[in-house]
Amino acid sequence: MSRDANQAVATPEGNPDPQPVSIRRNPLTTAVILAATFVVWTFLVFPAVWIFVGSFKTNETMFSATAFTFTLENYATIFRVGFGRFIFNSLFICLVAVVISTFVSVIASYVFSRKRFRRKRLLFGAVILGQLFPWIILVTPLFIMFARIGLLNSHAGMIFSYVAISIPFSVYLLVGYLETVPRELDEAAVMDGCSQFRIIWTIIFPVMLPGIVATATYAFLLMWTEFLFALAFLTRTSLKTMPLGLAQFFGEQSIDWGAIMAASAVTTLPALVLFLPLQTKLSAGLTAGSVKG
Amino acid sequence: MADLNLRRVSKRFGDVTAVAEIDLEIAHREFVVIVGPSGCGKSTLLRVIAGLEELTTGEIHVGGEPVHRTPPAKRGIAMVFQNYALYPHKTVAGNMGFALRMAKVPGPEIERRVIEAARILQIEDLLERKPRQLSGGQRQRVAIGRAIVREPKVVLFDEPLSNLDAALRVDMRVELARLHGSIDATMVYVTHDQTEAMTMADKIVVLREGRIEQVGSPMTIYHHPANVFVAGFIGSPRMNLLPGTVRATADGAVTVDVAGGLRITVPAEATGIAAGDPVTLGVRPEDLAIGPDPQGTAFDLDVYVIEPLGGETILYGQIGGQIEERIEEHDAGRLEDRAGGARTLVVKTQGGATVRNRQRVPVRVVPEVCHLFDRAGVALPRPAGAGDVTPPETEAEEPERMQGEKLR
Repeated sequence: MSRDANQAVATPEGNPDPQPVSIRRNPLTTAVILAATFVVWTFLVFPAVWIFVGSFKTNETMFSATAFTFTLENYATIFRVGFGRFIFNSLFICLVAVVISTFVSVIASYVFSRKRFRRKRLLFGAVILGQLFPWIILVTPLFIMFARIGLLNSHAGMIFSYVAISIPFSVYLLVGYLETVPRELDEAAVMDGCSQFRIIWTIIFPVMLPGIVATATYAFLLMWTEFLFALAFLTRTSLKTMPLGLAQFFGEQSIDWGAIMAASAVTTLPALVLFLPLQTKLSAGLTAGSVKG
Repeated sequence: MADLNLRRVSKRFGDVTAVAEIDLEIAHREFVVIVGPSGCGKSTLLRVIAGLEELTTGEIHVGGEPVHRTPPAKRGIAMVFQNYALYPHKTVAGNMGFALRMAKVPGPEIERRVIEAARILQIEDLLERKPRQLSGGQRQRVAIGRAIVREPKVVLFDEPLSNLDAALRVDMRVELARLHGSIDATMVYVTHDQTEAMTMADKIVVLREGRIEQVGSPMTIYHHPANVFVAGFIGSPRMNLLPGTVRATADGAVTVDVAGGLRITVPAEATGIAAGDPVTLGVRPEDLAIGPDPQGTAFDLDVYVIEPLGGETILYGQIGGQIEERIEEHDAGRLEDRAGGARTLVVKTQGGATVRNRQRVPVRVVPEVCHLFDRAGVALPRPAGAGDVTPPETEAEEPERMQGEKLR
């Protein structure tokens, strides 16, 4: 009894509840926050849900709020017209580009973070500058260049351009992340007899894996949804990526909404599958990287 | 044999000289502690020995072989870092065995050596854990294990205990001393903690601004500091340094007038000084005693702060007046350089001393334990045998305390 009484005195509001009193928000504030969250959530999630549900509807019931006729015909349609090929193209281009970009960025960020050399700041600035160009400016010069060296209508050309656009921000993020990794780790590895290359891949790489995963995921999603370069550099249907494939369903005469819904669902799926399990690492990685840049 | 020799080793970063022409000979299995204030170049010197920094000039020899052009891992040198630098993604065993794997030692041999090192450091139960699952003390043991598992000729320690709390630090200090006895390696240990230096070292190297101020056994450094800097740096509380003026010189004795009107004749070779020259009189707090002196060599001390530590009591006082002012300064933390303060005196007495604050007490000085430094701060040589004299009570107490630290 006396302990309870003591605690009641100890709590700021004189609350006799022995539970520690947490900081409580004004109920009105809570309601506003909840409402705002709900609105944002609706705008973000509703279209995705609508597309997902719509992809299983027939074209007749597509825009009806009440009628629903389940069908897999939309999925059958898109794969019949070769959407599978687009999925493969996208996966191939994006995965290869992410691996190359990550490999280069890890080494580049290690050098920028750990090595002393002349003109380092200038060089780092130049890398970051690459991030500042609007992509549309790059389309024409890249098109001419690719035309001359035969990289138009090729996976290699796409991989090349995706690697180029993802390296600046990857290096930027990874350098920031590396600043949080103590240099003594490198030095301990030197004392243990590691070569320079080995230090990066057996010591630093595992330590900065959260940062690398975050960066690679971000790069992948950027490439996955990229439309502009693909539209400019790929004209042959067998080479096209998913965003282009999706656009194909917007015909000049008619629009196959069912196919668009199904194709959109398929486009979203890999991103979701990739993104959801990594969500916590992603935010941790991005935060850690953002401490110092 | 793994003696370590540094010959005129220098390290410059641009215009800054971090380490200047260091000559140092370290014998096989010796435990050498490099001490000095922050920024004195001690860590840089260690990193140069390790090979993490390339030396600018000079030579480093391990066991007679020049190693200063050899890659760090091939020098036969291991290093324990201040923040442990354990690989977070590897287990304790993985951390400890990594260097051996790099050196392509066969698996069973790696396992045997890791287990052996773990046994010495009493971390056998932790071998499968990751560093983040360990306490600070355990991590430190693993870091040491990682160093000794390679069976290096020389182990370097860069302030290895500074991240540990006070109690753990004492334990690890004893562990390291024990480890030194049980493995066949020369150890070089960098610290700014003079207690670590005094208790663990066979030989202390006092460094300041990249230069060696003095090299010697702990007792030599303590009893025969080469200059004012070493005198002030080694010993806790710091040595009292009082400005004085030479009154007269004789064969093997210098008579000095110091603050408070005290005249004292100290046994010292009066080389290069004459009457009227300014000198500094150094006397350790533990060499002072409360009580009148029949020969009259005593200060009148106005005590303004008493620090009872139980077994001993430390008195801060002033030779002469102005007590109020000094108390304020002490409370405001401005008396950092109190040993250098001209009229301030620190006295270490037995715990049972019955001195009260603001009391005026006589403080006895034994001339034989006083140090004299010339205008440049260099110690005046003492006549043979003179410096070893210590007051009766400290003479009996000191070696015992030292031993106690090592055995505990």
